[in-house]
Amino acid sequence: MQSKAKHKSARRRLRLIGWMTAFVVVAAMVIPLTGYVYVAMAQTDDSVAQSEPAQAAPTTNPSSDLWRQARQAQEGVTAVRGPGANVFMIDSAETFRQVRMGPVSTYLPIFLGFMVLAMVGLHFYTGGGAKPGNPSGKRVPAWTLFDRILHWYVAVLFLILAITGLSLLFGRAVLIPILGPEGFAAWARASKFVHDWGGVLFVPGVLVMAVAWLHHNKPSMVDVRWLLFGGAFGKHLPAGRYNGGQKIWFLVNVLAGIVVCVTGVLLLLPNIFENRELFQVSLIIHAVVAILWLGVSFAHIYMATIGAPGSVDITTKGHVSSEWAQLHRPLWYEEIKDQEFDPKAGASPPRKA
Amino acid sequence: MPRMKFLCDADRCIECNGCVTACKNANEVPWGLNRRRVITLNDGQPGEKSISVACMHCTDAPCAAVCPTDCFYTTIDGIVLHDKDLCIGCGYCFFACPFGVPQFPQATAFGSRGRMDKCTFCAGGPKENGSAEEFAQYGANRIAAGKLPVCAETCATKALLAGDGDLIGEIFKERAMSRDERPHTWGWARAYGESI
Repeated sequence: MQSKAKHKSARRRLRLIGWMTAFVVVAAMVIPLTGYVYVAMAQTDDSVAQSEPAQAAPTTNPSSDLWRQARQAQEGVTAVRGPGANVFMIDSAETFRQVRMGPVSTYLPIFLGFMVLAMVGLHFYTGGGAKPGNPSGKRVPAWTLFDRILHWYVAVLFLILAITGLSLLFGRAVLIPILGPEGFAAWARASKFVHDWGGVLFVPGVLVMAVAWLHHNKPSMVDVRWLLFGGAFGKHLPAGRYNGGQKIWFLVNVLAGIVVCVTGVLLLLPNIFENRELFQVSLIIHAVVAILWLGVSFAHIYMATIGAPGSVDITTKGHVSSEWAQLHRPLWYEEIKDQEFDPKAGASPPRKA
Repeated sequence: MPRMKFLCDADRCIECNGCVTACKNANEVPWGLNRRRVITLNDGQPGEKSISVACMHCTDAPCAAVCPTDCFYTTIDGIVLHDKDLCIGCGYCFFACPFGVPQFPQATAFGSRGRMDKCTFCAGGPKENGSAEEFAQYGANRIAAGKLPVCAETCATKALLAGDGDLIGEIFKERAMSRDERPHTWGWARAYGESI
């Protein structure tokens, strides 16, 4: 009996110890969490918030920030006047140097050489073009005096500007070894003068040409067929007054002309457009587009002289042999064959209607 | 051999423009041109800093790389000079210079550029040292006379240092360490491809 009661109290003690242990374990986990409550309340309490530091310490070194500003072309204040005088250093200058002395000086001469070789290759591929001659002696009128003057005005200036422009870009590599530094400096100074003023005369020529010949250069399906089926490679396909290749050449003249003239005029006026970045970009664009234009002009020059014998009469005499017109411009010949004349019989080109 | 460099201590420069004036006077720099300029960043704000800039006499000078007539040359002291007789005033050096150094007198009423003018590190030009011809074209030749550039010699706070790169680098490093900061060698990384 006594042992039974003893047994009972021991069990109660054990249960008590179990509950108390559980309470301590739970309390040990829960009580520390009240810290969150304290922090949450403290954050809403203004007096506690104000006791914290007013601002965080700077995350960057102030002197490094200043150097960063200088390096990233931040504008400052300076007593000296001049474009970009208030900027310590710019990155675009190095880009200009890398582009001009890298790709521009490397790939553009390769392109010009490629175009020359392509024309030589074309010459052998087509066998030098058909030579219709002028056995009948009959001629058809093609260009007015105005057209011919306009053509040679732009063409002569184009070649002068090309020679002087290439001298400025590649003269250091090509001409200094030949002319010597003093000799080349004299040539370069003359080139710069001629390029500057020749450009001024060139701009109106290109503009007048773009307007005057626009109506002749509307594309048609005949031109597309001419281009697609190898009109440029010696095949005599139907063509009107101008073939597809010539219309593309006109388009190249207008587009390249606009780009080259706009950038060129801009570069002529350093005291009006005082912006180095603009000049760096303009100079690269001017050189690249002008040299691409020159490369395409090789094709035009070849086609209009030895590529299609007889063509050059159009720009010199203003009329062309009937055989040439029948061979190269059958559709145009049909239009104007009533104006055919024979200079040997004393006839002169009929006045253009 | 010494390698001549400029170094401007932005913590010392007080934007007095003494260097600009001394340069203009000693070299009789033409009207409208300045071979040196002082730029103040964050002007009027706490922590504003001024830096005096002229030709840095770069190791691989971009002006020399793009010049159509190849008129630039580097002296045995590492000073970048140019021959005004070869210069055609095209302005390409100005487009290629990261520091905007080359200056051009206006040659005609239409605004075309005359022959380029820039800091010579007071070392004249390709003409005979100390000749009147050299002075008229390029200004003073103090280097040939054993002197340093007049801008740095004039600097009242010794902010602008000119001389052998290693030597002025040591001086500047000592200053920076005493001020407990990293040495900021303004423009050196761009001009010389290295810091002190």
